Amino acid sequence: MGVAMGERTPDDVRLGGLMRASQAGDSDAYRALLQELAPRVRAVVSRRRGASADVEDLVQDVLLSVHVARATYDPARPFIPWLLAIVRHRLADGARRFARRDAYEVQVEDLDVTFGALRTNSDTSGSDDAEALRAAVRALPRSQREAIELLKLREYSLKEAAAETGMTVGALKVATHRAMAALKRVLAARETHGH
Amino acid sequence: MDTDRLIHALSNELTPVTPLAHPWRRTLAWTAGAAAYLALMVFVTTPREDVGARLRDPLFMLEQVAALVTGLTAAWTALASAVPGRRPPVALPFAAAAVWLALVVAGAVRDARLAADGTALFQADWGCVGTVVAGTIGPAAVMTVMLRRAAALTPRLTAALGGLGAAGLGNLGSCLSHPDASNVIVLVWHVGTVMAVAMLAGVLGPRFLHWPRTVAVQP
Repeated sequence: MGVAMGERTPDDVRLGGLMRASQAGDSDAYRALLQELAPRVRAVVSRRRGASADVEDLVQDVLLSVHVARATYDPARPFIPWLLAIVRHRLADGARRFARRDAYEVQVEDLDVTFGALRTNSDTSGSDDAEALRAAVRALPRSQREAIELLKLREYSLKEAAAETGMTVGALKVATHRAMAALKRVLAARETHGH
Repeated sequence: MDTDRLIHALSNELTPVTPLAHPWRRTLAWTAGAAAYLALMVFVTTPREDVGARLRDPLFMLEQVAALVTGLTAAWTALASAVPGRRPPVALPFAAAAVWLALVVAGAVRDARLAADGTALFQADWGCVGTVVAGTIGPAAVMTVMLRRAAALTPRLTAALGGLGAAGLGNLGSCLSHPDASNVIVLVWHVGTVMAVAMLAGVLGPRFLHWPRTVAVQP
């Protein structure tokens, strides 16, 4: 994706044309554009982050950012420098975010397992599970917590939840997916460690 | 959600958007709105009685021009800094602000030399702060709306520049409507308020200039 400012390759012109059509509301052009961008962005992110599990999260962050910022693309200017500026800033945001997360994350893989026997269910296990779930939901980032509360607990429709939170439907879907994955991880870890 | 499903969701919910105009055009539109707001403010609060005499003072005029240039260049760089792929010269408004500061300091030195009674040179003047802030509110509100339509690439810098732009013009409105006993007062209360507004905007920038919350996933 190396293109100097002001220089327009045929590839850049084609991508710029797809974005111009997307700005006009052509969803087919937009789908084609995002499908072209995803592997390119993934390649850039992979070079920076290595084979990390965060790569796909960052690719999705970039695509969502492209979506949100699509009005800022000037069809008279090259497309790829516009895209790369978003990628660069989202990568920097991602690096700060992952650094903060890593600083707070407790690695549990190396803990000794001292109680290997299976435990029987008790009268209180149900309420323990409910409390554990509530605690796990409380520990989610705010956007994910709101998505879970509105869509899964209060059974809002995506449109209602989008209106309530100001998030896009696509963003809500991503938040819900990430929240569910995080809850599964937390509850699975709890089960593994016998709580 | 896998990326293919995200692409499907985003393209299904696509709505047409109007590409943002060039930052210079947006700056001109913002300036026109700010000028109308400040004219109304000066009209409502009535211009200062000595405005005619002050406008004949070359140093006063130079100060106002420098404040105006600071405001306009800050507004332009703020708007351009929120457009991916543009690299506005962000040092430009700070250079203009330095010139403005130097002119105000020169005026303060002049006033100090001319003053027979040094105690009159400086006094608390919350009226200045009030009129600068009142003149800043309108342009700042419009600037915020305009910046939120763009991309939150550098929220702190962009917001600080936007704040400097709005306060630079707010200061102009204040200078035309509120009398100052000396340039020492202008230096402390006007320049101080403008800088405080710019810094506060920079601190608060990420609160109102950010990517959608799901994108900016918290740790």
